[in-house]
Amino acid sequence: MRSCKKTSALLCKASRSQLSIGEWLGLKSHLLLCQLCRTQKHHYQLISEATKIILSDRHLISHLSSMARNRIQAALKAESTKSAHRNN
Amino acid sequence: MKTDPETWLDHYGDSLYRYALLKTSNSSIAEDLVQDTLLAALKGHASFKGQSSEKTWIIGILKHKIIDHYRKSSREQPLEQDENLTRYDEILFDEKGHWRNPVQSWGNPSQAIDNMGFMQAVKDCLETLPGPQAELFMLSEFQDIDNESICKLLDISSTNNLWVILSRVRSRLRECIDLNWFKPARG
Repeated sequence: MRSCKKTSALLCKASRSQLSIGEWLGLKSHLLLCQLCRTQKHHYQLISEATKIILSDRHLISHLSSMARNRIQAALKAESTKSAHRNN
Repeated sequence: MKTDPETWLDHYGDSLYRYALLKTSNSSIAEDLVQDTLLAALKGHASFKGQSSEKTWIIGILKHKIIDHYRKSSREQPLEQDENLTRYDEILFDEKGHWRNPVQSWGNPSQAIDNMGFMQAVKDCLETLPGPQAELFMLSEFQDIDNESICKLLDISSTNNLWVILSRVRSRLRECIDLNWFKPARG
C-alpha cells in the first residue's frame, strides 16, 4: 500500500491537476483503507473552502487604509515634483 | 484616454489594493505593491499609448509587480531548502511514511464552516505561516494560475516537488488549526 506521506502529496496533486490512472487507483484504494488519510482529506477540503470564503470577503470589503493612502499620495507627489524638475 | 495621475489613487487605489490583497493575502505587502505600481505608472505614463483602458494598463503593471514580489521572496527564502518544513515530515510521519499520531475528525464539515471560531483559526493560522509558505498556499488555492507558473514564481524545481512541499504546508496549517481551534474547543 502507498504510504500516508505519499498519499498526502498525491492529494495535493489531485486538487490541482489530473492524476494518471495508476495514481488515481492508488489514491482511491489507500483512502478506502486508511481512515486517517480520509480525515486528512476532509480537513484539507474544509481549510480550502474556508480560505476561499476569507479571500472573497476580503476582496469585497477591503480598502486602502488612510495611512497607506497618505503615504502613497506623498510618494506620488514627490515623484511628480522630481520628474517636473527633470523636465525643466 | 489619459487621466491626471493625481486622480489615480482615488480612482484605482482600492481596486488595485483588493487585487494585490487577493493575490498576496498580506495587507502591508498589498499596500506596498499599490505604491510601487502607481509610481511605475507615473514614470511610464508618457509611454502609455491608450491601446487599452488606463485601468487595464495599470492593473497590468500591478500583475508584474506581484510576480516580482514572489520571485524576490522565493530567492530570499527558498522553499526547497526550508529545513523547518522538511523536519515537519519527521514529526508527522514514521520511517515507513505512516502517520505517527491519529488525525482526529473535526466533525460535521458544514458546521465547521459556519463556526466563527473555526474561521478565525484559519485566518490566524494563515497569518502565522512564513511568507513563502503562505504564498505557496494562496497560489495553490487559485485555479487561474497553472502549476508550472507556481513552480517558476516560487523557484521550485519540479511539479513533483511542488506537491511534496504543498502537502507539508497544508499539514502545518492543519496542525495549527487543530491546536488553536479543535483541541481548545474540546477542552
